[in-house]
Amino acid sequence: MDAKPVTFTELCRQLDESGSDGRKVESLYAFFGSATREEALWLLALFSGYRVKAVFSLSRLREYAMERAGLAPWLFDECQAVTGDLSETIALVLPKPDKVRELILPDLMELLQAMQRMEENERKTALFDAWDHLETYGRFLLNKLLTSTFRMTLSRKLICQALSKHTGLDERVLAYRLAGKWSPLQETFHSLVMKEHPSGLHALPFPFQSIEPLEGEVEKLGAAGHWTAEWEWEGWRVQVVKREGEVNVWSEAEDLITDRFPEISDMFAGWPDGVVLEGVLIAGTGDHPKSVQHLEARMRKKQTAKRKPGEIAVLVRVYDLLEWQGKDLREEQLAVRRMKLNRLLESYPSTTILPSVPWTFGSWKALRQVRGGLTPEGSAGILLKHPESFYGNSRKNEGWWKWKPDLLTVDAVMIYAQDGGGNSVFSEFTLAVWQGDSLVPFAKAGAALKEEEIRQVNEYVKMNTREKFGPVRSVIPALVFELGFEGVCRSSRHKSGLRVLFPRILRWRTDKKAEEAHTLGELLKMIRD
Amino acid sequence: MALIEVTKKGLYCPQADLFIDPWRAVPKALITHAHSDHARSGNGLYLAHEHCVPILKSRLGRIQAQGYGYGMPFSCNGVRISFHPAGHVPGSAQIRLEWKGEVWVVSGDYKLEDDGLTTPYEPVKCHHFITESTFALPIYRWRPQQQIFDEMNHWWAMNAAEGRTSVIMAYSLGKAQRILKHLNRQIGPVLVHPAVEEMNSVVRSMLPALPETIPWQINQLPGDHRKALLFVPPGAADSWLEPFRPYSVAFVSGWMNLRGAGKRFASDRGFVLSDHADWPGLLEAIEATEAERIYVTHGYTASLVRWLKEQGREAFPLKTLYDGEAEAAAGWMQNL
Ligand SMILES: [Zn+2]
Ligand SMILES: [Zn+2]
Repeated sequence: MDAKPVTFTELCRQLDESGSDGRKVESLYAFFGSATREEALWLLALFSGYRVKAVFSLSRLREYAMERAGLAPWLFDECQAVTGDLSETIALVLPKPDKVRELILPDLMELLQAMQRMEENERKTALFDAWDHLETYGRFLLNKLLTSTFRMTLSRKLICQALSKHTGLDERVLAYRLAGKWSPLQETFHSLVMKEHPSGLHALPFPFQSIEPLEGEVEKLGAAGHWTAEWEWEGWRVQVVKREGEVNVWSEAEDLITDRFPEISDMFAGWPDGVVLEGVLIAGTGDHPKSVQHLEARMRKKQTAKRKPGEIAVLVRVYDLLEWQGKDLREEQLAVRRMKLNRLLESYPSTTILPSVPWTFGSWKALRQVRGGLTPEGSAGILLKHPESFYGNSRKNEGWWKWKPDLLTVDAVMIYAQDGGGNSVFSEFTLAVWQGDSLVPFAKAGAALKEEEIRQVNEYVKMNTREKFGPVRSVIPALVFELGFEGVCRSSRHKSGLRVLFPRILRWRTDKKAEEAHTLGELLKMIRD
Repeated sequence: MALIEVTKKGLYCPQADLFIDPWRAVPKALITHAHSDHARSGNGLYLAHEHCVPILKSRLGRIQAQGYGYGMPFSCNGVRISFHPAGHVPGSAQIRLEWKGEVWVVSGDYKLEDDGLTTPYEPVKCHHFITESTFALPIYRWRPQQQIFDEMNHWWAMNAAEGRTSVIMAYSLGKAQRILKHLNRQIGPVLVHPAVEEMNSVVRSMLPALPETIPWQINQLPGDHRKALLFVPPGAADSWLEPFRPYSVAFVSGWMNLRGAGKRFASDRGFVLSDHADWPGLLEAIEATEAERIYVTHGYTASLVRWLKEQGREAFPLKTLYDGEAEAAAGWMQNL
């Protein structure tokens, strides 16, 4: 079967339609395969958030569209109420095109620049001409670019995967080369992507040591005295790489996240070169950690150098030192690396770079008690590490183990949704269980849902809102989530008469109706006094 | 007294003592077509186009029904009644009622484009026209169906080449048969969900132009299913599709005209194809009736009424309970 070449329009349409990351990478790879280098450069710029100055205001574009389509304002507005988007409405109501032209990125960018300089009349003629020769989706993209509302972005991770497949270069090197500020007007595809100097190698992290979930009884690890315990903090595992005067922060998925969290660069500004640290990036402050949702919200936004007011602060809890004075420490024992790390942390005291302090314990029973007791805020479990282990390629039983508390679960109905601060993505949900005919709210939690599910849940919330209270919406109760938590205790402060510990939404039970959710009675039975 | 009025049970012709597409059980009902929002169970007698009757029986079980050919009038207490092609789905009709020289036409659901299987729509002149308005906004303008079928066949061929089963979600009456008629059968086998096959066999008995299909039973996976195209009704359980992994799902509906609609239906491809008239189609149909009064129902009622009034027409909204694709869409949302 002959694959059609993937044009810019086709690529955007495919990205818009497909939910899976794999498909997105395939589409992008196909685009790189058929695009010129100039097109590829412009695409990288647009998808990394490059903004073209608006040629028309939204109201001007709307006015011209109504004129071209011959629609009364009320009818145009009714259309827009259905699509929810001006660019899309215009694309759909304009007369059918005569002869369809393809949108070629560099030409389009040139046109946009030329239109900036035109007289209004000339500009309008150019606009009508462009509209008359584009298909619906092409018009939609054009309208977005004309009004500087093009927001089609793709995570750098996915862009780099496709680009790496296309160029044969290391994904991480590409991530480094695409990070930071660059302009498509001053770069070429070659200078940006293919260049040898600087290579970007100095920015690379070490492959992350794997952390295995501990299956079965903890006793199988052998004598308790040989192990140390650490809290597993709720956040993102990161490596902070400082070399050649530059700080680069990598997530565990080897995603370069420095420019989304510019304050981390500042935090390590005074540190010496030749350092690689590992720790957990946490939203909030040491005393008041917040859920990872806040980190995800930051990732979705293009960051400016300064933290915006109202944006959540972050900190790093550091637990390992992998490079010091340019020397790879991974073959040193963990105990030695920790000692060096402590000395380093003492020399650079900070409120946002905190140690994650390990402890030893006399017996597995004692540790079990710690785990079942009052755990610090923001901890999600316990990590077990062998102090004599090397980083990366440890022998079995000497690795890093994640000892999760045993989770309790219930199926509960979502009744309120809250957006994650500023953006309109609903990520915090209030859940309720049945008591007779009524739903009693008992927990608020974030959800570890797939991207596609997040979209569907958001769609549901928007279409089934009963009332809005600020960022919170009450919704028609229909969606059932499985909530996991680590314990239940009585609470007179809560309407439900109980409080669940460390609640988190595990999955969306699309197979269950609201009536099939659990009852308050069933939840009360889980209390262990 | 008007020839047709709206009652709690539905559109009613007092002179003939007949209801049209009633939403509550009545003794005698004229039925425009067999979609569930128009043909409900429990009526004493169903009067419909002759191709609609077997479909009604297959959907509703044992019913009393009487079938008529297109343009074959019959009388009921002095009211001359006839069915005329609506082009919506097999057996669909507009219903014309005439009494003392006054002509009313109830459109039911209709589309103007000839879909190659259903008897094509024919305009019927009248004084009073009751029209649907499912897609009555200028954002809804369909492309010729051949373009859509070409894209669909291309999508299927690409999936087949990459070893993915193609899954089409479409209403079992109408949409499924229309698509089946236009698939390029050289690409691979066409398998259908039992619910779709049941409808196919009824339609095929009347319209032999409908190609053969393979009804598919769970646990009977044909060897070349990677190249297959599979038809399922919207809302078919995920478990049903599980054996076909990996697969790509396409939803086929007029609603796919909007960006992001595919995601709302959890599909990864959307094809814009509807059995309802688009905006230009509705305006053309209304014009062709030469009606003095236009009653609008079933969709973007207020917009179409306002637009018609601005054109100097006498137009009125008619509150009915038809919901068609809109409800199917909402229902599908709920059971995602
Ligand atoms: Zn219908
Ligand atoms: Zn209908």
